Amino acid sequence: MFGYVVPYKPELKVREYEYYKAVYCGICLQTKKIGYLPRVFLNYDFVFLYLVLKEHFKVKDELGKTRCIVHPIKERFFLKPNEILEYVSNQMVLLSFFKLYDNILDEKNIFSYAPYSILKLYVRKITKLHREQFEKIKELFNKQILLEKSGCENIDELAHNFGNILAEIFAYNGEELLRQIGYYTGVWVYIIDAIDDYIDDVKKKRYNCLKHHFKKCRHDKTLFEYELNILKVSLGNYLAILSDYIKRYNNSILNNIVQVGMYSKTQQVLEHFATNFFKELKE
Amino acid sequence: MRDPYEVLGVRKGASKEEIKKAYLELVKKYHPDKFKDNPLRELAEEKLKEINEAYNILMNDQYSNYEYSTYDPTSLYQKVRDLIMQGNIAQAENLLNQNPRNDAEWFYLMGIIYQKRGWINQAYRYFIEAYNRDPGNYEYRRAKEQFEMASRNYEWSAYNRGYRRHNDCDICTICQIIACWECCCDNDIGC
Repeated sequence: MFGYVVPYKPELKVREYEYYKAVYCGICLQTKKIGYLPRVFLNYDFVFLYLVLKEHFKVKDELGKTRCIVHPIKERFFLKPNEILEYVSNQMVLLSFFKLYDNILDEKNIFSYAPYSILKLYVRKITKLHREQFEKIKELFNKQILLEKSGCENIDELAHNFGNILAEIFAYNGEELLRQIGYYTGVWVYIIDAIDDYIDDVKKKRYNCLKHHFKKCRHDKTLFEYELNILKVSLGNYLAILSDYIKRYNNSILNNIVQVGMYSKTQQVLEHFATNFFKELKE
Repeated sequence: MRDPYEVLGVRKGASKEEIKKAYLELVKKYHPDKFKDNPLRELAEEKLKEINEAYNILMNDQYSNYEYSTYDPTSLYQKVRDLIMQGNIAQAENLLNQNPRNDAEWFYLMGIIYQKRGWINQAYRYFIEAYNRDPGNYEYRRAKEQFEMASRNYEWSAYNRGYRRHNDCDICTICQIIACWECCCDNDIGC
């Protein structure tokens, strides 16, 4: 995941904000038990996963206070380990593994090869617990890479596949509701990431699934508006469905993330895209 | 099986020459030799199989002639609607794909199929197309507006929870940029 699923901070209460940070620290400290390297890949999206799972299974979590290498002076709150936290941190390692795997197949990049081979050792440990899930995610990942390699132009097909990956990760025990939440989060993340990267990808002549739709709009403002509107409406729909699911949990941080955080992120990315599209892509 | 035209990536009713060209290109792309010692090999082989099948069907004249003439539109669309009602989405799509008739109803039904699958972007595109072809039809308009409504409702609820945009106020814009900037590169939060 790419760090798009974050709360809108000005709307958070201070205690919510502290709790949010504590979960983040909790995941970090939990991951340390597996190894130091994967902590590099830590990001806020996994706090979202933890919050969803915690609400779903009604886990009562406890906070503790500690110092760590990154914050040696001031003591910080962190979440005491529990079963869910362990699962989340395992998933994080798994996903960063796949990200590197993707890089290696893609670019044959030496810089990702070294961490990849180290991560492989950790992953072997983890997959003992989630064998079946690992295989499924791997298959979906391969499919994703193949789709991108073959220059697939159907945004939905790609986003659907990516959504399925997250659905697999969210579904702690195969629960349908969790699966749906994961799916719609994934679809949204994939599309928003594609929009965010579009200008860069075109410049560097990399693959981007939106190319098919926006290639034609270079010199046509109305067509651009039309395509942008389609994206806006579909993103709004995905988020509407997601926020319906999240409302059931009645958790204010989750509500903040889905209703305000993801909304403002969408606006921000779309606005940035719209203002820079004609400026940056001239020729 | 998927629509052979789609598999080969050519438009409906393409000439044999075009089909052959597209086929050869795809075969090159997915050739097993390219995926030696690669975990994608199996998937590529599967894809190649699909491509071969599609090519055989299309080159075998009968496909286009036969499928085009068996159904008259009204009964075809009724059949598709029945299939959708029964929840048999795959077969409904198959049937539609084999009988491309470029009218509003065709696009509308295709939109419904994609909507059922949860592929909203695609579905919305089809509904817009159906609406553009026949703006007077209530059904098409409603389908299109449903999406817009859902999106707008979500935006409203987000808007009411406090996130406000002030496009015409300079100081506010600056504040907003600072807030966003803080959000993105907050150093004191990371562990």
